[in-house]
Amino acid sequence: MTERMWRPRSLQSSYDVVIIGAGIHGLATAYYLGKRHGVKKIALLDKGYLGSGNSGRNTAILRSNYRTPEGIPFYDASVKLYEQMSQELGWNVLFSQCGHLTLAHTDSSLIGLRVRAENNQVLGVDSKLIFPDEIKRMVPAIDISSRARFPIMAALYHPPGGVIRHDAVVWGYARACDRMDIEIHPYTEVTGIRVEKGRALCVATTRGNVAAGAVLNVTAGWASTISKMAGVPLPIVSHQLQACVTEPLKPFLDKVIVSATLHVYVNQTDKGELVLGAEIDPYQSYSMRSTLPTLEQIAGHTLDLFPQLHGLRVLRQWAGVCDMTPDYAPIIGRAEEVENFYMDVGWGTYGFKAGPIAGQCTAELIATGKTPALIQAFSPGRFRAGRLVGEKAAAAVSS
Amino acid sequence: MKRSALHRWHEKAGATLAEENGWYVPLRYSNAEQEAGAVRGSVGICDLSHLHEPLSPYARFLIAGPNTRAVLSKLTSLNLDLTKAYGSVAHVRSLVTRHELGFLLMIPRDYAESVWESLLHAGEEFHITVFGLEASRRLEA
Amino acid sequence: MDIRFNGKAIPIQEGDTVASALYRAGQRIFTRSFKYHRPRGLLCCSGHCPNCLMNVDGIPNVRTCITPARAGMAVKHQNARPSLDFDYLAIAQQFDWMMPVGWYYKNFTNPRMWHLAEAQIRKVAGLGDPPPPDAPEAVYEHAHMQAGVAVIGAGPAGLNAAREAASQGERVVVVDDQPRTTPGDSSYTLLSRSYCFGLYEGNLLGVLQSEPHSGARERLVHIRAKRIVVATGAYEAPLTFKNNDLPGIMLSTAVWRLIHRHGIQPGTSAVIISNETGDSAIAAELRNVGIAVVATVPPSDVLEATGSKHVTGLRTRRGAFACDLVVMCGHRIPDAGLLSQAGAKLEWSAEAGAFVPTELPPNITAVGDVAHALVRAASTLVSMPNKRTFVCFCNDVTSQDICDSVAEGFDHIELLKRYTTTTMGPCQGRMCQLQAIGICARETGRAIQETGVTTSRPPNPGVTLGALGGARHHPIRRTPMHYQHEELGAVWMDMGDWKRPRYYKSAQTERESILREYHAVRQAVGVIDVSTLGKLSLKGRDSGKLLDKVYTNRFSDLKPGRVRYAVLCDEAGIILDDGTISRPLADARGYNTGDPGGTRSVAPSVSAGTIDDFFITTTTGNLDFVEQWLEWWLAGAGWDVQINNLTSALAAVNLAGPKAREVLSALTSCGLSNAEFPYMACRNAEVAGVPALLMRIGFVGETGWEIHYPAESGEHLWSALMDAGRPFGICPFGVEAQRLLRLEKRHVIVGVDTDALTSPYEAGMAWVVKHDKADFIGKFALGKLESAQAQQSLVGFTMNANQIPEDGAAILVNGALAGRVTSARYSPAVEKAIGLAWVTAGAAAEGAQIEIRVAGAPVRATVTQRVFYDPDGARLRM
Repeated sequence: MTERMWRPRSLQSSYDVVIIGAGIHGLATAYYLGKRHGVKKIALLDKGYLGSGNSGRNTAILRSNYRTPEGIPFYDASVKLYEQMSQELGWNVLFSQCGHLTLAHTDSSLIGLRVRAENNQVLGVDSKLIFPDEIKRMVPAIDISSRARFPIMAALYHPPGGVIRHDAVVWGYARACDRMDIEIHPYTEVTGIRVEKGRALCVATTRGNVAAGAVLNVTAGWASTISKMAGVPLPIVSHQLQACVTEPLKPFLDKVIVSATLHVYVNQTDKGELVLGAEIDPYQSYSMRSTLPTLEQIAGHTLDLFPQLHGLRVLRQWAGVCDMTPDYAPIIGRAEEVENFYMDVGWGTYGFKAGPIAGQCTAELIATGKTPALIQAFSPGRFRAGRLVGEKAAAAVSS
Repeated sequence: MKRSALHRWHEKAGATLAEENGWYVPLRYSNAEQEAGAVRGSVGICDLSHLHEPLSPYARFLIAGPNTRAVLSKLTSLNLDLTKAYGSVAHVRSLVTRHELGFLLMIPRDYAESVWESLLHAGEEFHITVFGLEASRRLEA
Repeated sequence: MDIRFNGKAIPIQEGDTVASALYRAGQRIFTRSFKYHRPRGLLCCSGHCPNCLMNVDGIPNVRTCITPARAGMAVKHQNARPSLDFDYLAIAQQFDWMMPVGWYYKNFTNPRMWHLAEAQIRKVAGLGDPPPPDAPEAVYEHAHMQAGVAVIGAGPAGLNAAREAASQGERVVVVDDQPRTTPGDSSYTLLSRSYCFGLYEGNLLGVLQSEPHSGARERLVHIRAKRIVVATGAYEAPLTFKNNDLPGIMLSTAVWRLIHRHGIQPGTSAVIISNETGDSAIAAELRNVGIAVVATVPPSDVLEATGSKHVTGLRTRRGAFACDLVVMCGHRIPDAGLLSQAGAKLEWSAEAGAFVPTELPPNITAVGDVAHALVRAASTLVSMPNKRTFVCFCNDVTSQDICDSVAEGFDHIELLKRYTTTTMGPCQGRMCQLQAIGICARETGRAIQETGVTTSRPPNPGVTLGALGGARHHPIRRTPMHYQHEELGAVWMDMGDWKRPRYYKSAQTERESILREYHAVRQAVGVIDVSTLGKLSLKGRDSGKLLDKVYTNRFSDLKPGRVRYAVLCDEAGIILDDGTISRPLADARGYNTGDPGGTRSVAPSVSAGTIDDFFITTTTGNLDFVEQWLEWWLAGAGWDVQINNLTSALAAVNLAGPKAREVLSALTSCGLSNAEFPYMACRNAEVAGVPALLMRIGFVGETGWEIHYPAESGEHLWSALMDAGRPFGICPFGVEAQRLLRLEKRHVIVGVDTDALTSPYEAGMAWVVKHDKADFIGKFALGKLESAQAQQSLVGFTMNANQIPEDGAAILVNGALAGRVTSARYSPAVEKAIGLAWVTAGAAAEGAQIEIRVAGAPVRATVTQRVFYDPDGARLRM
């Protein structure tokens, strides 16, 4: 008899924790609440099917070669959780630690990469600058010649970086949550949050109202909408991020390639398809309709790196909505305005990479009331206090 | 002597240059009659940057001949039915206006050579020609 | 006339596709399947399915069934080793029990095992071989069209719509995937051999045209249409039964094409699977070309096809029939992808057996089969779970896999797609989506409508990267003196689209060349092309007001003939740009123009107006931003200000060094003495007969002038300077020498020494912020930052001359990360390594000891706030 990954459930009237958004962050938080803190009366609500938001729209690139002393240990912890995930969940999430190259084609991006390499090395993350000959040895298919308009000058090589199967992470967590009797409720849209005397009491959904001991907003694209329901304003603007995938070729590219100057990233899946991504669209948008100019840019820049691929066909293009904060760092913590309303939002283009560690930290915060050191820099109050995080400086392209 | 942004290009292409109103201008590249004929039969481009207001940021090209639209439509999404349009031509923000022989292109001077090369490339299928002032006068006559 | 297939000559005929030529020559297996390497033959003959993908002239995954055969083409099979007839990896079929749907998720949960397994998987995954890095490039291009009406599909319904619109005076474009056959109708423009792959916002159609002319492989046509008529018709999708993928089992439309288009007899004895009773049209076709029709059976009676490398018979509830051709009258599916991309809903019609488009957006209509689907369902959608019944031909997903997945909980069509990868292969769901939906609906007990379709995403059909990229001419921005630099041996660097001389190769090494340029500036005179600076002129009464609002410094009180340093911050007090703002003297009012007659109009226009005029320079990279920023804050203010971007109109050079005055005085009558032209003054004057704006500023730390003048005189003035400077040993210098020179002066470069979080206070530029101004952008935030304890500061440092850190090197204090170097160089003036660095507040004091990583090892350095060279600026005022 086939075992179901997760079971359909009826919505109950009250939960200890109601998590709005059953993507990777919501699932990870529920998983760690259950596993580490014994909190199991949890409902995960999602308006669509499981993983229908950005968890299934990102390009599934993992890395920890960030720039700041806040970012580096945080993402390093996340990569380490990903490394153990298949074993922990008994479900292969297809993490391919194939190595990650960020290319520089200009002086200024080269210096930006060196800052990252230096900070990574000081903080114990495996990352170094390499130069064209070594890049060519590592990625024989790439064009390092000077005929390119912006020839490759150097790359930040990050061996632990790689790609993972994003859907598998969602499914693996969902299965593990279901085994702990944590309830997953897809197709359950939140329509309101009742707040009284600075406490969130009840979450209204399309399937009825549920009382909540604590409420966690862990949505992307709609983070401001949900927080506003609880009367909590968020300094977030949303931009589109687009990506596409090609027909399969025999595997020839076993590194993740990102170009900060060309605003494009490329990797080849185990099936042989190339996944190609762009930078975030420059204008504010909640639309998830993909655009032709972006696709043309992705294609052109991919050919700058791999001119021989001109005859390869793109099969699908899609868009995700990225919630950008003023300093490009996330907002994790308890709302200042509502005592049992928590947020784990504003992930910009980094959300997927951070899922496990953000979930672990958020779970600890909700269960113990104490803010773990790794997320202290990301508190909702920092904008008022003027303590911004410096990832914006490194965030031109962010895969 | 004032020089258009394409001065060096004209020199390299073997143009016969002359002085006009303090500017070097390309009179012809080979034979004015042949150049005019090639434009009438298909399409050609001409550097008119010397017809220039003081302190203009633009180089000025004329593109003329029956295949003018076909060439331009490969480089711009601008609506060529308008008499005047501003937008990207060969990835450069430019002004395109109708002209009795075709279209006038006002290209930021620093990008002039780059756009000129793109026009020549886009026009390859129509055997695009470059033409000098002599040919342009013949065409206007 | 022939093509070469795996090196062997295959004759071709007029009208042949690569596939039809191969089929006529007896080829039956065209490729091997993705996972199980099962033999696959022609199925759709219309470019939809994955069964005929081959490498053609070096390009992998080409749909040979729609690729016209051309003499000399080199065609190779793919995804089969050693040959199509015998493929080692076909052994995978024996191990299908090991590889049920999602098998890879359930195995290799040990990371080390997965690492090993993945390497093996990657050896066999994929379809075509990637072209080698030195593969020849091909020509692709873009084109743009405006149309009143765009009609997609030149079938009878599409052409009717086209003629009707044309008769109403509309400009009509018709897009059709077939080659042009007849001269056509001149009332509309026909794009033949073209398909529309996407319908985007604003009625923008993406159309891919093959071989638009002999010089291009593909052209991507962007059509903006006021109205769009979708007449894409319907396509046929296969039926599901055991071994339905064997070569020799074809869709009826494919059989029709082979017979009619290519004069091929695709078998000798055929079984037709069709719901039509009696003598069907296709049966008549087959008999006409001499194929015996053994039987016609309804889909529900089919049990399995038999054969190993080709079909040999069909077992049905009515008995077994031997045959070498099985003709599937498959599902007729409205080709409604474009409509769905445009926002139309797809509604299941049980009667039509198809999803039909409804709720079309305005200005989009559908005509013909795509709209009405008056075709009847070929069969029930039910197919029982079986490991040899293929739903997805691209990824070898069987009906068993679909049923198993639904049972595991992947019961939403999108989840099912993601888990099984059905619809995600090269056919983009055309062959498999309806079957997958049917099985999902049956297994979940939901209606087909409720099960729904997966989202249609462009591009569909797929488009090559080459066509999307178009003619890839990256624009290059050249200064007016570009070719003079080239003649002087410039080694270029890119700054955005600009090309700038990094240095001029005048010695063996880069370092020696740069030092030579450095010494010329410090000891004699040098000249650098700074035409890439952004240059804006502000005219109008309220220009000073706007500048006071936007820049942190005050400019309304700037005296004519003076220059001031300018910093621009955002609302959060972050430095966005810097530059100079000058207020030129107006020659019209009799100020010193260097033109004694006062009669000539002295360009640049910064001099031609009133004393309200200002001239702004911005950094090279930030011009567009600054211009937009100024326009943004001007909008709605009701102020009298006109902003004019003169960047491309003006060339600019910086002449600097102890001999600069002597060189310049040879070319201008403008008084250059300290009394007549003091430091931070500006004047309009003629230089070498060219009207110019001169500013006496000193970025590199020597007496010098920045000269802005009309671009068309760019080469002339540069030559004049070089000639006049020759007796003094003038040397052109590039960006590298400039960076060293300014570093000795501790001048900050925005974007190099600052980043997206730097405020003027941290950068040590508190003096540029005038808090006594009424209001300016960033005032509130800067007020808070002024009093706040800075978290980090920009400081100078010196260290041992033989240890020069790289720009970006990390700084350590007590072994902990405490900052980074922004610029470091060997300073000939100090004879030490010097640099600028961000350090944490605790390490910023004068004389503080820090460690800087050089080649990974910490090296001691000393913090200093002092200027390294000529701290009092005496040389600027000489």
